[in-house]
Amino acid sequence: MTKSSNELLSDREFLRKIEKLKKLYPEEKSALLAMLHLCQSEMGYISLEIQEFIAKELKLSPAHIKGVVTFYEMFFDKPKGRNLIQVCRTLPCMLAGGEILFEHISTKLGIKEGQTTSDGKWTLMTVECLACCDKGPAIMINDTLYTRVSPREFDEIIKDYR
Amino acid sequence: MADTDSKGPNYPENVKTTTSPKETTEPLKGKNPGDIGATIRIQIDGIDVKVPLGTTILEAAKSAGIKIPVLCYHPKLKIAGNCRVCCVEVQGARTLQPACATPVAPNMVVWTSTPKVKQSIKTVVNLLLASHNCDCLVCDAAGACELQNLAYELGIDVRSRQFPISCNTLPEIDSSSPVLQYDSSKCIQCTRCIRACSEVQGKGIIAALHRSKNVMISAGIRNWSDSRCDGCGECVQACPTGALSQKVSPKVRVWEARKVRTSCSYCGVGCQLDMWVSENKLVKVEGADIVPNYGSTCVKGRYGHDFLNSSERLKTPMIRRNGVLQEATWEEAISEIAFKIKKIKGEHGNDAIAGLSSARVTNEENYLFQKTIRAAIGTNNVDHCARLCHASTVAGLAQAFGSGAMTNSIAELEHAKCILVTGSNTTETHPVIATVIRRAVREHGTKLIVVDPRRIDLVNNATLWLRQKNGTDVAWINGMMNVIISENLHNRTFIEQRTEGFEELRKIVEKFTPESVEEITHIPARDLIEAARIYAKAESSSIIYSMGITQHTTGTDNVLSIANLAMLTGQIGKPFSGVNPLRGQNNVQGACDVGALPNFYPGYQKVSDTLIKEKFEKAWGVKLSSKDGLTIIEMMNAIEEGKIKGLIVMGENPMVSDPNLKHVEKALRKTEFLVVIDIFMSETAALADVVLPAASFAEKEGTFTNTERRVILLREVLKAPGQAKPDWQIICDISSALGYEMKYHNAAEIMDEIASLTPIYGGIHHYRLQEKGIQWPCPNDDHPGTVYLHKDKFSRGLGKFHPVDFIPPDEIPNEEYPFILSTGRILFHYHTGTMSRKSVPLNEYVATGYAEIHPDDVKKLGLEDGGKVLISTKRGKIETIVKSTEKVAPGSVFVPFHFAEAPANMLTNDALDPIARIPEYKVAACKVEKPH
Repeated sequence: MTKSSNELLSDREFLRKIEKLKKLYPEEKSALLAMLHLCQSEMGYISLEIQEFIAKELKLSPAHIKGVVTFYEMFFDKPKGRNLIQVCRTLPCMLAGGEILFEHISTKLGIKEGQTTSDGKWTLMTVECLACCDKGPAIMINDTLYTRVSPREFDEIIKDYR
Repeated sequence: MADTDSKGPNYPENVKTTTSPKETTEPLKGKNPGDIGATIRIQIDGIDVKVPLGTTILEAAKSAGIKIPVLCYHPKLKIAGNCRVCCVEVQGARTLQPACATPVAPNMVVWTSTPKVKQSIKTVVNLLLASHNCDCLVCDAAGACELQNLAYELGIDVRSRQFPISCNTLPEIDSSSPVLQYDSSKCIQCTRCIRACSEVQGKGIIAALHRSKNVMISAGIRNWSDSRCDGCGECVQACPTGALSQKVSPKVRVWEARKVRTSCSYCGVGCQLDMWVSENKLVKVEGADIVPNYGSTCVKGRYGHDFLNSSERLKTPMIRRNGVLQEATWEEAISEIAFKIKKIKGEHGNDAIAGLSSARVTNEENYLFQKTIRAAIGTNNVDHCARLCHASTVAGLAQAFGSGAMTNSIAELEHAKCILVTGSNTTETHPVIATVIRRAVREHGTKLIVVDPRRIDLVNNATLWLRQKNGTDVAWINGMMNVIISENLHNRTFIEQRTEGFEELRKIVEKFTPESVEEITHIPARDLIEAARIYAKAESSSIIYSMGITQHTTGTDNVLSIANLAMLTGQIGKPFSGVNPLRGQNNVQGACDVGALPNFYPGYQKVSDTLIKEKFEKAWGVKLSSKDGLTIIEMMNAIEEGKIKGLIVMGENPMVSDPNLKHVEKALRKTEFLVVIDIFMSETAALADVVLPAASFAEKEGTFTNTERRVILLREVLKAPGQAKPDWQIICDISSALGYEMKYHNAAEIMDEIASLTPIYGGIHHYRLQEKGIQWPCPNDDHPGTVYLHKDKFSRGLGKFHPVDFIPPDEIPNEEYPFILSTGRILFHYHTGTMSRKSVPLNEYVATGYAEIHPDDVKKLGLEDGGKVLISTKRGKIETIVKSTEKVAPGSVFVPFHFAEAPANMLTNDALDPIARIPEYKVAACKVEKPH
């Protein structure tokens, strides 16, 4: 999850996967999103060096890769904590107490939106919608979805993460 | 657009160089595609308009004289439809429709200025202004900004903003590029720059980053300069606001500057430029939207003309007194020249004097120069640097076809089905032609075959790249012909009706099987076969070549082989197909055309032909010599042998450009009398006895002939500095002082004289060139010029096959000199650097010479990227900087020749092609080592 750019670029298994993705589509450049997902899952974010590497692989302008990375909110171009908390910020969740939950998380972890704890354990973000409007407030930690989360439940949930 | 199409699709003059917007609009629903082009009637603002189906509302309105505002629309680019200022009301439509992206439909009723439309435009512009940094007071774009003009037209009140200010929260100014800067706070996200970079330039470097109001554009991933951007400035010209601008502020408002259209003085493309001038200073250059470049330029054309303002320009004549060049008056300088030339003539005869004319100056000046040498001095010893670049083309193509020039037009390339580029690093030497090639590949699916020992930029766009060993061109071309004949892909009808000598050719190429060719050239047999098939089978195939083919001891053979290949497949004499040597310098085509050659009068009329000689004797009123003169290298040898005593050099710099420089310097120092006419104190001028200051291309009138045979006009943009004068006036003064009276009122008058004596220029007069120029042959005043050559009949009648066998280069690597050296040009500099090395931005890109060496060799030899390296050949050695790159093959070295402090030509071989007398710049055996 937290390989450096150099480690990743010399990882043969990773390079093999990249080659495989390239051949998966009728046009090589269609593999861009899949490659970005792969890199993010390996590194936790997509560094500039990796963006340049992908540009070279797909014969695209590096700026184009950066454009895609910065367009999608779920791609990160800077390192983030080991665990990513995404709190839904849309109206139904807010009505269900999302705002209070967010304040609680922020105070508990001592970070604001977009920040990472000094121990590198947590990054806090808000997100547009987690598609659980009937079960708010909703949050997502890494790939796991939690619904109807109260501040107390949150304190219990995070005990499982290291 | 409508009238362009009606002239017929096959007339290349009308070929649009960018994708027509029509092709990109959505297909018309429910309409038979065959209907496209049928004329329909629509109504705009109550006016009946007839337009072809497929036209957009915007184009239809334009044709009816109705103006619809636009911002993201640009006629050269595909439709984006993202700014919404062109929205109009279409009767029956649910919402307002973008005029730029909506095709017309029969009986459509459109309203462009209803209250609803006006309100919509105002809202859009107000929204744009809310996120736009309105610092018009200090913005370079003020007066030319399309957003500013639109706000002005609409009477927008900026004080009472309709929307809260929401400027880009990333207001960065990226000024890392040497030539341009980007201010995201002024960017309106129209994406014209992105589309210009991708669609027009075929580079696709610029992209949009981030989202929503934070959207900004960038070329690089960190900043502009870490990208592959080469500074052509297409994006700057496409930008509607001041977001992308020239880095050096002109500090002059558009309305204070004067715009003059003229021709670029760098390469042979002949780009038309709009030069902005204020108080006799050049402040800005833009590409003119006309043939041949349609608004595009390269970095040199747009940003490399600051040398014109240089303080180092020569301003007064100079005479060497007591070994030192001292300022003199024009009268003193001219009478000194007359005295010395007459003295040499008297003591040693006419042939003891020679002249080097110039591919940098105008046709009129070249004509007068050769006239002076021939009529006033009485010798045919006149030549110029075409000898060093395309002499083999002139010789080879004249033998094969009867005429040695590009057979097709630049615009035709975009529509060729196959383009074979060999020995031309087009991206760096003819950048605007490279954009046409890239567009052909990207937008029209053209198959590109590159045959080059170096991994040149165009390889990135190529279907196939054949990497031949340096100097083995005859072998691979014969190999391709072997495949074509054995697979029955040759064009029998064409061979029978249009050519002669096929049987001899068939015999010689028989032994060049793909396998044997692989042994000689190292090109895999499979690739050679594939290339032969693509080239021969394509509906139209165009060959582009340049110095990589010509600058060999077998240069003429190489050119003949290329001609053979084109004739064998019938890929010549029709639109989009032919043999296209790219001429290097702005007017190298013209200098040859008007007779700055030792064996030809103007128009390639032979000096040795008595009837021709009589014609010129009659016209010039003097007896002429019937003996062919000496070529450049022969002149240098003759000086060394003491046969030539006096040399007049106009706008050339043999001290950097000629092969085997040690020898050149020895010769030039030996001349009894050396005159140099130039705009700067060049390395050659520094050796001269008299130096005369010339006006540059931007300070005089005249014509250049570009690589596609188009005679184009130069206009006076600036006043020449100090006492500098146009070369033609200087030549007139010299000739008159020598006793051969020469007087012209202007350049147009000289062109009229050229036209009267030169059949291919017969109808060429300045008044006919005002807009687009004319492509020769143009035999009379009513002739429109010739778009492509050899239609129905070759200039010499039948095309002639010349069987050519493979001969290895003069010098091949050996134990002492194990590397292959080749030399050439780079994008950011031009020839001997007299102009480009005085340009600030160009030197920011590349300031010093270097040698490209393969990383494996760098490692093996213990060198370092960026470190020093010593390169030597039998003739000399230079120390330069290592550039480790896979562009060159292992065992090869490439050195650009622009840099006098590390002159590549110290190393090059002056062995000559036996026919064209061109030296072998492209292959020499060299040693590469770490300096001691």
